[in-house]
Amino acid sequence: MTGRLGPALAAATLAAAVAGCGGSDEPGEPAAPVVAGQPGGTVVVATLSDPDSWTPYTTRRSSTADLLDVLYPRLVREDAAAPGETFEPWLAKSWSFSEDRRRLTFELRADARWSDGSPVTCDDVRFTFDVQTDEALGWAGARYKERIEGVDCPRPSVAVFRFSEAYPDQLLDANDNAIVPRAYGDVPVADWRATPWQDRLVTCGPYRVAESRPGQQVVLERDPRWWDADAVGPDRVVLRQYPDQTSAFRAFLAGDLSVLPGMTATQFDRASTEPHLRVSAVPSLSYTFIAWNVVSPDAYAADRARRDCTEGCAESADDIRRLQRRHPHPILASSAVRRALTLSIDRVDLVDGLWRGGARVTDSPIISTLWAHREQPAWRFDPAAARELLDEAGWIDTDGDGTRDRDGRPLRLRIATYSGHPLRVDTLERVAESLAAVGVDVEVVLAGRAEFVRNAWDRSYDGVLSGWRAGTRVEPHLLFHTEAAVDRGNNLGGWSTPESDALLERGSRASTRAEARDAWTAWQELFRKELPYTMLYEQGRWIGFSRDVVGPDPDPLNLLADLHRWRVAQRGSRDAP
Amino acid sequence: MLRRVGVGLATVAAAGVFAFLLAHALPGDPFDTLDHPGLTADDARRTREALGLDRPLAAQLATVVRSYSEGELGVSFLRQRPVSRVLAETLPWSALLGVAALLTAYPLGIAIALMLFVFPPRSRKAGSALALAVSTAPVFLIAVLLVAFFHRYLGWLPATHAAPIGGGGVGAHLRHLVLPTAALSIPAAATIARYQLAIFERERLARHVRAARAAGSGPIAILVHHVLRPSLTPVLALLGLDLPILVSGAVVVESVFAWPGIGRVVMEAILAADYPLALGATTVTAVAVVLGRTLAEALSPGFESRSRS
Repeated sequence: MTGRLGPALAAATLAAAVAGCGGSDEPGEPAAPVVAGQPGGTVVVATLSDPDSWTPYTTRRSSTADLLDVLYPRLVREDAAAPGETFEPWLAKSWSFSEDRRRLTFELRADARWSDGSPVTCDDVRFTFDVQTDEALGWAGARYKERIEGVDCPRPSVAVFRFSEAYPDQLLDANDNAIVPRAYGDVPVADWRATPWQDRLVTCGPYRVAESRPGQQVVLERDPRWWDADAVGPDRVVLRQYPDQTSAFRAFLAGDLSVLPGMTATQFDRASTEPHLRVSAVPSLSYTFIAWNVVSPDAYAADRARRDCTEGCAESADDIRRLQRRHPHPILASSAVRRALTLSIDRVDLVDGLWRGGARVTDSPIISTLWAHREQPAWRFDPAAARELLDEAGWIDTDGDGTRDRDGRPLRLRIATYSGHPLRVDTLERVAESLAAVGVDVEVVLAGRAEFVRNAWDRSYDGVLSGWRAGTRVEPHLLFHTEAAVDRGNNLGGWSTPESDALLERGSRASTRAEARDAWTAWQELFRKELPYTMLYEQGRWIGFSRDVVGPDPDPLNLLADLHRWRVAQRGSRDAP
Repeated sequence: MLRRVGVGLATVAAAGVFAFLLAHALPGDPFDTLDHPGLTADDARRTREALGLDRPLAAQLATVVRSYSEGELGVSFLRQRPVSRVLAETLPWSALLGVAALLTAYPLGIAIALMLFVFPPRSRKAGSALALAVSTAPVFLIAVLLVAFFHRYLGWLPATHAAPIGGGGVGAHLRHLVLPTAALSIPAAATIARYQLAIFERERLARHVRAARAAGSGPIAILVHHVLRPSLTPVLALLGLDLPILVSGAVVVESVFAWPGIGRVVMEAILAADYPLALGATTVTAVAVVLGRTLAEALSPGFESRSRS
């Protein structure tokens, strides 16, 4: 009996499984004819991870933050065409500054309701401010509230922010981050990170959470209490989790997904040939760079070890300056050499080859869509000029081995990148080829995340190829001031000068936008001259859509921001519950 | 019995301590600022301090031991939810996949072994060699081949997730279970088949079988009463050793098929240096191993005595 049961059991299981009811995962179903986009229907968006939290003040993931921006309201919405500069009404229908700009008054919508039916009032705004500034929570954005003294509520529909001084980013600071309900106040702030908020969500947005299946998907449904509920497009939005980009792309090609937020160049090429798909290229706030280490590699780590800094120590900007003076990098301390390296890299070729033109060469770490960006001609690919600069700096190939040298030291650089980022790996390999052509020998280091983070922040490499996703604030001081190099900070190359520090301080403390713009302009000119980083490109993003989905151009700040404005063609099987 | 419980508890405790030390020894920082230019070293340090990660290792271990003794498994850094909650969400999925795989692998493996046992010697050797090849093939390879054939080529079965987008009934869930179950059970069945076949061959030469043959029993009676029944005892022991898969999950299969089980979660936890979750999952797995072993030992003597009688 045992001998016959096993195969029979397996066959029966298989037969039952195949005969089981179908659903949207049936790849063999014939496509129904597409009708014009209209309200209703279901949109399926690929995601690569679960939300790590359900409040804006406990998440550490940008993908989760994007989702939470749909569920919780901000006072105003940033205009993607002019981020950080122009805003449109959202929870606040209007706002105004007092004459001395020390008070910012928001008039809230009277029809804004939380998903539990209670009205959204100034009490929620004030509560949110208290949470944001509570040290027990330790929200990283609390620094943006330092110049806000408090929030007053003269009426339930009016919120007044009091500032200690006037400065350009007041509206940005007041608007950072979304408003959460006063009802969350029954949980002590210190317990927020451990609280299972998904069991008790109270939201206010075009969508609310209908279902959350960890490791599988999050389903959003229209919130009928939202102030513009009639204008909402899809009935449901499913954020379907895939283990990796490749399997998500495969599902997209198969027609199981409506939206694929991000694809590689090869995937873009493939998707562009599929008649049922379309791809939109949008700018992003991300850029890729090579940070040059201006301090001798390992000198920083050795100095910290000498001062017993394994678990933090009293490191100061003076320590960094001391290292810059006493242990300059034998090759990269020279701005002329850094310029030569920049001129050796064909960044236009990188943009065309790796990004199919969907990226932008830049020489500034302030993103081109931000108000403070200074448009200046980018350094052109000029290997002849690069060779000349290297010759002048004394780097000459004396032994004919193809690599330049000086005083017996070869012009050899260890440049590292994170191995888990294929595009950056490709970029670095191309950069290495370009530099080799002018006599610079590059050792490409592809490091796992832990090793990369440890060594990059210890400044153990000669160069680090990495990227940042910037926000809409202009904050180069967080990356380039001497203070940003202290204690393994994000100033990866350890570069700074008194002039740069002074300009960064002027820009970050300016009381008017004009004053700030002057400082940032001067600083960007200095940056372009000194080239502590070779900025490679501002990258765009390809977003794939099924042709069933019709809507506005994707918002570069948050793809999910316009979910409610999408329209979906109706297909019977896709919309089946 | 008391001694067994004591040994079991000591084993679990040792596994937990080892996992704790290993997790902290591995490179990685759950709060690195690689992706966040706005996060400063100060932010990262404050977060570590708030979570007690700046304290000496011994102090951290003492806190963990105290928490565990109170039934608290801590909070996952990555998922920012209680570890017990994460385990409660993922364990049932791993258990479902594990049960389906075990219920498929064991009968299938035993059936294959029986089939090979009655085959002529040459065919038995070829079959055994094939079983060896399948049992040593990487699970990842088998998973990918199943996906390529049943999903992409035939379009019969879904390749990812535990359920369709719209939910669906039992049938829909079963369809999602087929491929991951097959990926797990095929190599397992091959291993069991080889193991069982070897036992069959050993039993055939046993004294009681020769005696039965001499007494005039037919081949089928010998096979069923004198070879098969005593041969199943070691397989039961194997089952006990395989039981932990119900809770430890199958990391590779869960990753390939986007199955929401504990294996995938643990892998992410280890890669992200999410110590509480990695430790919690390891401890649960250790408990399962101990229970599985105990169950296997407990079952074996009973079956043997029934076989003899």
